[in-house]
Amino acid sequence: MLESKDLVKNYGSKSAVNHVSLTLQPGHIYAILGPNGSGKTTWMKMVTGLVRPTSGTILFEGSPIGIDSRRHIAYMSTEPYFYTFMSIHDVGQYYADFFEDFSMTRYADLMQQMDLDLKLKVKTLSSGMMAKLKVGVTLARDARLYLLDEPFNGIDLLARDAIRKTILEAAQPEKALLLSSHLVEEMESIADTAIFLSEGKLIEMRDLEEMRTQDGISMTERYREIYGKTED
Amino acid sequence: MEFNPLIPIWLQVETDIKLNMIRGTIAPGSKLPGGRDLALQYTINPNTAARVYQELEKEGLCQTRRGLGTFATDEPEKIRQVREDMAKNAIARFMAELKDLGYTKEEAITLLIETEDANHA
Amino acid sequence: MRKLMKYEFRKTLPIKLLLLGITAILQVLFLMGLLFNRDNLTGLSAVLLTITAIVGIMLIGIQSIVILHRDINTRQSYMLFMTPNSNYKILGSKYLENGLSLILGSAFFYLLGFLDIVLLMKHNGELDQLWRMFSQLLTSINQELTIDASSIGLALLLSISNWIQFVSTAYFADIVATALLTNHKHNGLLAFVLFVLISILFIYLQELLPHTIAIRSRMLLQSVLALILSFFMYLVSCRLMDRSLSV
Repeated sequence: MLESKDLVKNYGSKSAVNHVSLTLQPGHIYAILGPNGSGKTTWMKMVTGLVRPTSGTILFEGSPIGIDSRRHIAYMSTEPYFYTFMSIHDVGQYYADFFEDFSMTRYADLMQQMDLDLKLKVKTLSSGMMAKLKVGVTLARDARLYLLDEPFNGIDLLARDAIRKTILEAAQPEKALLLSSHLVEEMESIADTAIFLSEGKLIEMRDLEEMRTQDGISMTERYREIYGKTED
Repeated sequence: MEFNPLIPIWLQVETDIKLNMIRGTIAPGSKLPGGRDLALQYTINPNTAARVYQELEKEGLCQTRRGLGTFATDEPEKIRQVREDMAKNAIARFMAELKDLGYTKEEAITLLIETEDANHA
Repeated sequence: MRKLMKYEFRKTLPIKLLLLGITAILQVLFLMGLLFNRDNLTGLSAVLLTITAIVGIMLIGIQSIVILHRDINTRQSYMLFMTPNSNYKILGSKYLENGLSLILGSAFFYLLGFLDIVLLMKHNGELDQLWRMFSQLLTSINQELTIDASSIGLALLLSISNWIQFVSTAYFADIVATALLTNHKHNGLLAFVLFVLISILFIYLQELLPHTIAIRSRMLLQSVLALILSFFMYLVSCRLMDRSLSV
């Protein structure tokens, strides 16, 4: 469904994404992992079209990404980005205005589940509420590919459980979801494939259940293996 | 349900379902939740949920009827067999642990009976 | 496009409401001054109204520039650039919103000014005579300098065109700076430098227009040149955004 071919993004002499080639298939939930600066966010932003690649191509359903692909790709960034003059309802209205796949009813539902009053102004939200709003408005879209950058950041335990369920509800055989999180354990049961990045390069892409069966380790353990510094 | 991330998740869910079948929480012949509902119930990946039913079906513990859904087995013999298999696994684990502590088979059994009698006195 | 403009308008609303409010208050004071023959009040509010008009149009233009800067340099950029809209539409909606605001704003203030002057003259007969003397003086200097509807219209057109060019140049400079410098921190300075350089270039281009023709024709030509340059910068900005803009 989504293919990044030899994708590169350089900032001066530093390579944020260094020749990353990977393919995302529908019907999967991917966990993209790596320390800060490993290229996860930059990769996601290039797929969304917010950052222009230095070289390489990105194909969504066979065609290069552009205006059309943005109709079907839903991206949630780590940072807050809504206009400060908006209320929670206005944010929904904005999405409804520009995304055909956005459902206002689903949005209202999710906001209620997360205990967020539609009348609240965006600038009065705490970081926890903002985090829930971002996830909610993104998942209220019926997109084909979801890219969620740190959806669990700043969210309390119970709300994280709720968000995990909402993510699962969005998962369909014809859709793909890609999540990144520092809370690796939180994704163990819901992801089926792990993508490990380091310093802009793709280290490996593994099916999780196969990794558990064959190697007897978890995604969290594998993370430690790949990124941990071994003591001599 | 809390998962052990080192062991395949489908296996842990399958075990849980087997336990429920043995306990009777899942009535023989009853309709099991659909793949997606199972995923939501356990908060697991939908592919994992599908794998659970695949494996259960291999062991003859459930049957998927096209258009109707997946149903738990209504054969009491199958459930008894599973119960026995799981019990045997538990015994094997128990014996392995006690052997590790240096007990012989006879010593282990004697200790078992003594302990259980004392607990129920 | 309409949806994009709806949100562009919403972004500019606070300043416009403020301007409207101040203008309304000053206008009431002006009318009160006329009504109660308080010449000091009339004079003061007239002067303040003029200042409000000039500063107001400036603010509309400058605000538009600040909003664009925010929309390409802060996280708020995601709002616009995540949507399935082409850069032509995104930038175009800003041009249209700003253009319309400048046109309507200028027309509003010109009209208000005209009405207020008429009221003033009707109220104060002497001024009427002064005005005639002033007009005759202008005409004797240069036959072209008559104050009538078409010359006022041309002045309006020229001022609007110049403002549109001003804003377009700023947009363009900002976009170039942001596209060139991936670090969003210092591109304000680069944008400013580019803005100054391009503005100087455009002044030079304006100077190339023939001087010997009638003033009105010259004003018309200047307006047209300003609008053409603005449109050209719009096109180049869009191409640049398509090729190299990362937010």
